[in-house]
Amino acid sequence: MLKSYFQIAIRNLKKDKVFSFINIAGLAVGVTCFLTLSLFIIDELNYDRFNKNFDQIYRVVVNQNINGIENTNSKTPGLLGPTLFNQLPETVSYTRIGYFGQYRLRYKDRVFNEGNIYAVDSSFFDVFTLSFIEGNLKTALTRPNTMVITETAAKKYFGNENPVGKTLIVEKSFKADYLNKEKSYINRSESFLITGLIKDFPKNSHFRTNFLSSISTFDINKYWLDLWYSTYIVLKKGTDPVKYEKKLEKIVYANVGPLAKSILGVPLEDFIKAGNKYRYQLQPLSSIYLYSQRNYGIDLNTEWGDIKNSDINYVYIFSAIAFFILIIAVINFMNLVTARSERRSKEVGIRKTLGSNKLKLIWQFIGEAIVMSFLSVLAALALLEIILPLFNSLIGKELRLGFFNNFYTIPLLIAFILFVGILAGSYPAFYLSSFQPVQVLKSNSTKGSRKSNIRSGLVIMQFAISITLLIGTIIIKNQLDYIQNKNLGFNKEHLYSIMNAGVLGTRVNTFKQELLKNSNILSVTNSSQMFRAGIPGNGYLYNKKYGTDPTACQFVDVDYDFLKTYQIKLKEGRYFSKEFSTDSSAVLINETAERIFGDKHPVGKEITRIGKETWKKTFKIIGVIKDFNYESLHYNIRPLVVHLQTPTEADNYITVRTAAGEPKITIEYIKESWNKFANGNEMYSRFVDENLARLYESEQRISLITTIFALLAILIASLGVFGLSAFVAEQRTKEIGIRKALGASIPEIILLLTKEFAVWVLIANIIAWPAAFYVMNNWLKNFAYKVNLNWSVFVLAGIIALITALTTVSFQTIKAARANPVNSLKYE
Amino acid sequence: MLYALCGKETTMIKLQNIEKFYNNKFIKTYVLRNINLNIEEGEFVSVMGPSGSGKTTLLNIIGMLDTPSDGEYYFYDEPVHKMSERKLSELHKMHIGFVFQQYHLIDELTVYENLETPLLYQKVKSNDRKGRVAETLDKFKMVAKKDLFPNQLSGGQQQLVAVARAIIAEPKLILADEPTGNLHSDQGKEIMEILKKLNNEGTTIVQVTHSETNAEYGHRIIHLKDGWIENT
Repeated sequence: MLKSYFQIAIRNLKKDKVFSFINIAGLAVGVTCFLTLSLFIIDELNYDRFNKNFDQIYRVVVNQNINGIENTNSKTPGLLGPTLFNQLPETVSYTRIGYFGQYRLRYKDRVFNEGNIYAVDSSFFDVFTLSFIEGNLKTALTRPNTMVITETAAKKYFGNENPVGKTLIVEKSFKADYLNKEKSYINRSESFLITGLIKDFPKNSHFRTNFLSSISTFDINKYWLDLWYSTYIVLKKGTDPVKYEKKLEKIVYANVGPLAKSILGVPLEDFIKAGNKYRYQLQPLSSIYLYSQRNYGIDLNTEWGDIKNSDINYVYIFSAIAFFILIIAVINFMNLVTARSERRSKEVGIRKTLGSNKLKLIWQFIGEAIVMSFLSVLAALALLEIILPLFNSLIGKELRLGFFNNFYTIPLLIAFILFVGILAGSYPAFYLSSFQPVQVLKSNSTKGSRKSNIRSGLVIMQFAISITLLIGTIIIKNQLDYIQNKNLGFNKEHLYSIMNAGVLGTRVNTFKQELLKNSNILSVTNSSQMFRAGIPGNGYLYNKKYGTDPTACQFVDVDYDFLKTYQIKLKEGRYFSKEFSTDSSAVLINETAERIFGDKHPVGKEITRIGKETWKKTFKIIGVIKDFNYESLHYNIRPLVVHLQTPTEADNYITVRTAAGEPKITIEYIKESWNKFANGNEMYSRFVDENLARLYESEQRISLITTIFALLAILIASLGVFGLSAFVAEQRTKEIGIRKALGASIPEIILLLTKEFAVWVLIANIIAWPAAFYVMNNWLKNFAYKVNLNWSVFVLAGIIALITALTTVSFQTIKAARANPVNSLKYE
Repeated sequence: MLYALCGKETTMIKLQNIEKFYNNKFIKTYVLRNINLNIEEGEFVSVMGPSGSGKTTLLNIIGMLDTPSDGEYYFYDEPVHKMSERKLSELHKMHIGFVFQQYHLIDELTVYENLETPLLYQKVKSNDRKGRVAETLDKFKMVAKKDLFPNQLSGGQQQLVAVARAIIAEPKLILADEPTGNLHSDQGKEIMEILKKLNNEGTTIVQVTHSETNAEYGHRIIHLKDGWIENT
C-alpha cells in the first residue's frame, strides 16, 4: 500500500512538471534563505562566546555628563587596570589594550604596512581565550619588545618557518601616538622578539588583530584624565557588577578627584553636585558587539582600530526577514499543494468506492506533501552550498552549515520536513477525504470551491510581507542616496586625500610645494584626520579659566590652507593668516560650538583647553566657521575647535583639491611627487568621497542583504501566484468557455481572472504599510540626518507588487482567455 | 454592417467545401469532409448522425466558436472565414445563441445572473437589462427561481434556464447541441416545444440530435456520417 502511495506521489510530481518544479523550487529557495539568514543570526548572537570566562568578562567604560552633554568613552586611564587588580579583590585578572596605529613591519625583505597592531598586558591571555600553537601563554608578553602573532601574520612574514624566536622590526620614524604622547619621535627602528604563535582570532570576536605586542615596551600614560586604553577585567564568579560599580566610584574620587580640583578650580564633589557625571561603568563582554550603542551609548568615535560593532536591531530585522520568507515559502507550498489536490477529487471518490477509508486517504495526501517537502529541503541544502560562499564574501563572514558538529541540525531539518509536509498536506487531506464519493463522481459536479478564504488569506499575507520588505529596501536605498548627496558644508568633489602623510615627517611642506607646481592642483592642506572614528576631543571653558561647566568639544589641527582646500565657509571673523604671528594661540570654532557657548559674538573672546599643566592653554577665538560634517551622518554636528598646529604624525592627513576634469593624470603626478619624498613608503590615498562612503559600510551591507532578500521574497510569492493562477485558470476553463460562448471578449475574460488577485494585493498593501512604517521609522532613528518617510515610497512599493502580481497572473489568464472554448465545453 | 433582412428565403448560412481536420503526427484526421450546406433564414434544421460523425464540430463552426481548416463560410453573405477575431466575436455575440447538452450554466451565478451575462457582454444598459431579464423570467415561468443557483435546480429546469439565456439577447440563430440529451422525455418535449415556438416567431434554429422524434420538429434533417453529408 505504502508503495502504491509513493508511486502515485512520484507520478503526480512527474505528470505536472511545471507545477512540481514551482512548488519544490519555491520552498527550496525559501528554506535556503531561511538557513542562510539563520546562520547569519546565530553567528551574530555568538560573538565573543568562545571566551572561557565569557560571563565574567567586563570592559570598563567612562561615562561622563559634562554640562549637559553625555558621552561614554570606551577607553580608560592607563593606571585603571592595575589599580582595580590591586585594590579590588573581586578582580581576578585584567588586561589593557593600547592601539598602536599604522606602521610598517619588516622581516628580512618582507615589508608590509599594518593597520592593526596593539599593545597588551601579559595577562591578555588570561582574559581572552586564544589557542597557542607555539610559546608559553603565561610568559609570552612579560618582557618589553616581545610580540605574539597569529598564524596569518606568521604566514605573511615567515612563510613556513617557525616565527618564534625570530625578530620583527617596526620601521623607524613613528610615534606610538596613543600609547606615549610624552615620548616624541622614536627615530630608530624598534624590534620585537616573537615569543608566541597563536591561532587567528575567531571571526566572531569583536576585537581582532594579528599582532599583540607587550605593553611594557612603552611608557604608560599615568594621567587619570587621559582615556587611551581599553581595560578588560575578569570578575570572580558570582560578583555582583552593581556592587562592583559602587566601588568604582571610590576609585574615581581617589584618582580623578585631585586632578579635577587643579583643572576646574573646584573639588570633584562640587562638580558632580552641579549636575555633572564622571563615573566608571562595567560593560559585559556579551553586550559589546550588539548593544554598545543601544544600551551603553558608547561613542563609536572612541573605538580605535578594528573593533567590530553591530546592532541587535539588525538581528531582529533579519530574524523577521528569515521568518517571513520561510512563512511565504511554506504558504506557497500549502497553497499549491491544496490547489492541485482539488483536481484529484475524482481519485478520492474512486478510492473510496474501492474501499479506502478516510484515514488512509489522509495519510496518502500528507505522505505526498512530505515527499515534496523532503525534496525541497534536499534542493535547499544543495543550493545553500552554492549560495553560502557568495553570501560570505558579501558580508565578510565564514558561515557554514555543520551537520555533525552539533546535535540539533539534522533533527531540526527532519522536524522541519515533517512539519511543513503535514501542515501543507493536512488541508487537502482532511478536506478531500471528506468528499462523498457519489457527489464527486457525479459527472457534472463542482470541483471543489475555487474561492477558499484560507487560500486568499495566505496570498494576502505573502504579499503583505513582500511589500513590507520592498518598502524597507526602498527606504534604505533612499537614506543612503540622501547621505551621499547631502550638502556636508564643504565641497567633497575633486578632493583627494593621503592618509599616511605622516611618514613624510618634516618634508611635508616641501611636498606640498611640489604638488602646487602642478596647475591642476588648486590647493593642498595638511590636517589631522577626519571622516573616521577617533577624532579627539577635550573639555573647553568658554571665556574663563576655571569652572565646573566645560564644554566637550572635538578638535582638529590644521594649517593655513584648510578652509580654502575644503571650501568651508567662514561665518564671522577671519581665518588663520601668516600675517598674524599670534595665531598659534588663536582658534576658530564652528557654529554648533558658538550655539552651545551661548554667545552671539564669540569673536575676540577666549576659550581655555583644560587638562594637565602642560596641556592646559587659553586661546583667542578669531572666527566662526559654518558647520560641516566631519563625522558620519549618524551623528549631529558636535562642537568643534580648529587649532593652527602641525598634526601629530600618526594622525596626519593631506588633502588635495584638484581641478575638475580627468583626475587620472593629476593623481599620477601626486604619486610621482610622493615617491620623491617618501623614502620608499607606499602612499595610501583615496578620494575623500570614498572615505565618506566607508562610514556607511555596514548600512551598504544591510541595504544589499535586504535588497537580495526582498527580491527573493517577491520571487517566491510570484512563483506561488503563478502556480495558483494557473490552477484558478484551469479550474475556471469551463466557465471561461461558457462566457466566451455567450460573447465575452478576451480582455473581459482577462479582467475577470485578474480582478481577484488585484484585490488581494490591495488588501496586502493596507497591512504592509503600517508595519513597514513602524520598522523603518525605528531604523532611521540611527541617523541624525535622515530622509522623511514619504507616502510615495509606500505607494511605489504597492504598485511594484501589483504590477508583479498582475504580470505573473497574466501569463495564465491570457492563455486561458485565448483558449478555444470548444475544447473546454466538450463532453466529459 | 449587415443589411436589413426582411425578404423571405434569404440565405443566412452558406457553407462551401468546409473541411475540418487535425494534424496528428503528420497524419490528417478528418472530422468534416467537403461540407456544402445552405440554411435559409427562419429554417429549423436538425443534424443527425452517429457519435463521432462531426455533428458538434459542424455546429461549433456555424456558431463561430471553431474555425474550419479549409473552405468558405458566409453569414448573410459576409465571409466569416476572412474575419478578424474581433469582428467574429462581435458577429457571434449579436446574432447567435447557444444551448448545450450539459446546459453549461455558470455554477457561481444565480439564475438571474446567468440570464444577465449575455446582456452584460453586449453592453446593454442597466435598466434595459433588468427589464429584459424580468420579461424572460416571466416568459419561462421562472420568477420564483431567479435567486437559486444552478445546482439547486433539476436538469430540466437548468436546461430551461440555458434556453432562456440563449434567446435573451434575441439572436437570429439558435444553435442547440442535443438540448434534450440529459432530460427525460417530458422535459425534453417541453424544451422542443419552446424551440418550435421560437422558430415560429422567426428565429432560425439548428439542432444536433440523436432522437428521431426530436428531429421531426425540424423542417429538414441533415445526416452526417464520418464527416460527410449523406444524400437523402
